[in-house]
Amino acid sequence: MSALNTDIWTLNMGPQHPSTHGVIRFLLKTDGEIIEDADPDIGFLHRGLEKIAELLPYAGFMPYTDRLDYLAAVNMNWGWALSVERLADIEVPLRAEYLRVIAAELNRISSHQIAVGSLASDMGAFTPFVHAIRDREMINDLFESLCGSRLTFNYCRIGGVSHDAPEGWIERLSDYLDYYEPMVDVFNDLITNNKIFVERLKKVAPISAQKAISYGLVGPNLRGSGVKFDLRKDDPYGIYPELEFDVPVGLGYHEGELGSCFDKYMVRIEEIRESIKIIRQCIERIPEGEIVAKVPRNLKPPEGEIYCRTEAPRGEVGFYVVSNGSPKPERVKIRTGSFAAMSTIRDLARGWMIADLVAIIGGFDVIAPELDR
Amino acid sequence: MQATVDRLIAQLPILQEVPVWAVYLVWMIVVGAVLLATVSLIAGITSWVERRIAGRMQSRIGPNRVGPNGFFQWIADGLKCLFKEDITPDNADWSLFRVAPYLVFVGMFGAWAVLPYSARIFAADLNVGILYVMAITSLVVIGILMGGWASGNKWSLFGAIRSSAQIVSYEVPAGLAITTAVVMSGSLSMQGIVKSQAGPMGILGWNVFNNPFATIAFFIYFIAAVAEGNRTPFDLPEAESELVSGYNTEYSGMRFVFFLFAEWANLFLIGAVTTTLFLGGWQGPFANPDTWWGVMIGGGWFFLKSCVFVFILIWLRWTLPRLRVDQLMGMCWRYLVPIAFVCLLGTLLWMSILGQRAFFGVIKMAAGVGI
Amino acid sequence: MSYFGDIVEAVVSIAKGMGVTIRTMVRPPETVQYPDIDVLDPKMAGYSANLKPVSERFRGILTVNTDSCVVDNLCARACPVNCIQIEGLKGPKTKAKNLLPGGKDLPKTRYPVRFDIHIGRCLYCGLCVEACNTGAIYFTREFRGQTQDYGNLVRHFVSESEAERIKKLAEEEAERAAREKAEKEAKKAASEEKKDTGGDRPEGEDQ
Repeated sequence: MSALNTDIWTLNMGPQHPSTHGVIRFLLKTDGEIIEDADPDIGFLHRGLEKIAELLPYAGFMPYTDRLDYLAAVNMNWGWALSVERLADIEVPLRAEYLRVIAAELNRISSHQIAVGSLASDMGAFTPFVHAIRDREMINDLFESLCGSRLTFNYCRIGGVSHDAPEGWIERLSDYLDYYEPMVDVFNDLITNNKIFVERLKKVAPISAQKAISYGLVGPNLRGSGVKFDLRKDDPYGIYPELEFDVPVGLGYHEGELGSCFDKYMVRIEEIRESIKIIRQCIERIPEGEIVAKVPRNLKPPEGEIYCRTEAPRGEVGFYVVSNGSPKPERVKIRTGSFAAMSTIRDLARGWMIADLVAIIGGFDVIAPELDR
Repeated sequence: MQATVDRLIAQLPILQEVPVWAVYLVWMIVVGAVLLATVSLIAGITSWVERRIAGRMQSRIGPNRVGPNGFFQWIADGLKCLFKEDITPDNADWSLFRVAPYLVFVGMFGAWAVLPYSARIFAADLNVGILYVMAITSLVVIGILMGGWASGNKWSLFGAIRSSAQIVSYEVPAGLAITTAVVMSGSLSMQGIVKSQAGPMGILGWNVFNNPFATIAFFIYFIAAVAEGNRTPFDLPEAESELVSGYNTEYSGMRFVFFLFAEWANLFLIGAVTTTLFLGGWQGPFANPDTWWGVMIGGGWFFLKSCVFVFILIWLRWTLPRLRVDQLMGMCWRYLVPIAFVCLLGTLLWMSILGQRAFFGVIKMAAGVGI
Repeated sequence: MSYFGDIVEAVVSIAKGMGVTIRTMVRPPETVQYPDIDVLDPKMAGYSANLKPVSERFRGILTVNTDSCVVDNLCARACPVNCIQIEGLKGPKTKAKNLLPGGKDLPKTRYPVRFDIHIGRCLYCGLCVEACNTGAIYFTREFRGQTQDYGNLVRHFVSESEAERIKKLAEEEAERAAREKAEKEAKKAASEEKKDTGGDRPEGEDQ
C-alpha cells in the first residue's frame, strides 16, 4: 500500500482581513491547520515619513509623528520633541514636563485598551472590545477638551506642549480615573479570567527571555517574557525619575508558559493600572508655570546627530536625527517596536495553528502604520 | 394528522367528492406553508431580538431606525438581499454551490414538523419523533460541506471541514443525553416524552428534576446543541476574525440569507427540543390538556421556555470567546462524552433501583419511610 | 482531580463573565443619536453625564477673518502640507484688529486678494493657528465638510467682489504712492537746486 500523502496548502491571509491589525499580508503554507511557514508581506501602509521629514522644518514634522502610531500619538510626539530638544539643547519648563507625562500615560491607557480589546475580539468575544472602546471614549473627550483633537493630538511642541489644561480639566481627569480603575477589574471578570480565553492564549508561542532579547523585542512584548526592562526606569527622560511605579512582567499567569500571548496581554492590563498610578501622582504634584520654552521660529540646531528613545505603548520608539545646521533635518530614521515584533512572527508561528497565528499577531500588538511608517 | 384529516372529511361533506389522497396532499401543503410562515417569522424576529440584546450588552442601542425600535430591520434586510446581485464565483462548482443553502435550510426546517407546540397543536406525531429530529438535523452537515467545497475558496473549505468535524462529534454526547431523556420518559415520540413529564404543579414532573444525573444530562444536551448550531463559543466554522465568515463567505443575496435564516431559526429549535426533552415541553401550571384553554396555556408555556433558551443562547454568544478546533474536539471527547455515559448509566441505575419516581417523589418516599 | 477543577473553573469564570454582560444590559446605553442631537449645542442632551458637546478647543474646519489678516505668510509657511495659498497686494496703511486676547492691533499694509485653504489636505494640526500674530486664522467647531464635488474642498475666504475692491484699493494706493514719490522727488530736486545756487540761508544761522 502506498504511503498516504498530504500536500502543503498555500493560503493568502490578505491585506484585507478582519484581524490582522491594519493592512498586513501573510503568505501561509499550512498542513491542514498547522502552519509550516508564515511569510509576512509588509509595506502596504508605507508613506515615506522619513523622507518627508527631510523636507519640513523641525516644528513642522510634529503632526506627521502623530500618524506614525495613531493610537499612541502623544508618545510619538514626545519622542520627536525630545530628540530635537536634546539636539538643540532646549530646556523644557516643569509644568510642560508634567503635562507631557499626564498626556502620555493617558494615551498609554487608551492604546492598551484597544490592544486588549482587539485581542479579545480576535478570539471571538466581541463584547469586551466594545466595553474597552466605551471606556476609551472618555479619554478621547478629555483630550478633546485639552488639545482639540480626538486621535491625532499634535500635543507636544519643541520646548513644551501646545495647550494648557483648561478650567476643571484636572478634576475631570481625576473623576475619570476614579471611574475607570474598578472597570479594569470588571473587564478582567468579563474576559481576562475567562477559562476559554485563558486556554486559547496561555500556552501559545512562548518566547524565552534570551530569545526575546536577541530578536530585539521591546515594550510589553519583551516584558511579557520576564525581562524587566522599561525605558522609563532604565533610561529615564522627563520627570520619570521622580515618579513611583512598578514595571509589570510576565509570570506565566494561570499556569501558562512564560512569554506566551497571555503573559503579554496581562502585562498590558497591569500597565494600565500602573499608568493610572502615575497620572494620580502627577495630578498631585503638578506646578504652575509656563507650558512652552522660547524657541526661535526658525530653529536651526547645531550640526550633529542624536538617537533618542522613549517608551511608547508598543515598545521603544527611537528617533535618529542628523542635523546639518539648516532648519530642515538631513536625515531622520525612526525605529519602532512593531517592526521587531513582526520580524519574529515567521519563526514563531511554525507549528501553531491558524487560529494561533491570529492570537500571536494580537498578542504582539502589531499595528500597521508603525510597521511601515 | 391522519386523524385530523379524517375528522375534517367527516365534517365537511363536500370533501367526500374529492379523492382522499388529494385532500391529504392539500392538507400537507397547507400545514407546510403555515410552518414555513411561522419559521420565517420566528427567524426574523429572533434576528431583531438578537441585535437589540447584543447592542444593550455592549452599552449601545441595536437597530432603532427602521420601524418602532427597529422592528422592521429584518424585513428591510431581507428585501435588500432579494435585490442583490447573485454572484457565483468562477471557481465554484455551480450545482453544488446552489444546492447547499437549501440543504442547510431543509435540515433545519424538517425538525419543526414534529415539535409539540401544545397538546393538540402539532404537525405530525411520529412515534420515532426525537430520532427523526436527530436524523434530519444531520442534513445540515452535508449542506455546510457542500457550501464550503463548492465555493472554490480555501478559507471556506477550512470553515466547512472544521464544521463537519464539530457537528459530527457533538452528535455523540447529544445522542447520549437524548437517550437519557428517552429512558426516563419511556417513549421516542415527542408528544409521548412531554406527556410523561406530567406531575404536581406541572413543574415537578419535568425530566430535569427526575434525578441528579438527568440535570447534568440537561446541561450536556444544551452544550452539545449549541455546538450543533454553530454558535459561539463553538462558531469556528464561521469564525469572523479568522475566516471572514467561513463557509458562507462567497454567498451573497438570497442564498446568504438562507444560511442566516437557518441559524436564527435553529436558535428557537434548540430551545424547543431542549424543553421538550428536559423541561416538560408544554407542561406547566394550568396547562391541562383536556380543556381548550389549557391547551392554549400549554402552548404559551412551550413558547416561553423556548424563548428563555433563545435569550441564553444570545447571552452566551455575546459574552464568550470561541474555542480553538482542537480544544473543541478535546472538550467533546474528553469531557462531554464520558460524563454523558456516566449520566446515562446513573439514570438507568436510579430508575431500576428507585423506580420511575422523580427526585421529589424519592424525597417524599424517604421522608415517609425514614421519619 | 484537575479534571473536575477545570470544569468548576470554567463554569465559575463563564458565570462571572455572563454577570458582567447582564449588568451592562440593564444600564442605559451610551449611544449619542448623532443627527438627532445637536453635538455643537452646549446644553446637549445625552444618556450619561460623561457625554459632552464638542469642546471649545475642537480643531474643526479652519476659517479666516480677512480683516485681521496682514498677509505675512506665517501660516502658509508653518503648514506642513502646503494647503494654504495666499496672495496679497499693498494697500493703504491701517490697523488690523488683533483677535487674540490681550493683543495689540498691528499695522496693516498688505491686503489679501486670494486666501485659499484646501480642507481636504489640511491636517487639522493647528500649526498655522499658532503661527498667526493676529489670530486671523482660527478653528471653528464645524466638522461636517463633506461635499460631492472635489473642487468644493478648496475654501475661498476672499470673495470675488472683495478681491476686486482690494485690487482697486491697491491701484489707488499705488497711484498715491507714485504721486507722493513724485512730490518727494520734486521737493528734493528743488532743495538741491537751492543748495547749488546758494540760495537763502536758513534763518537764524549766522547771527
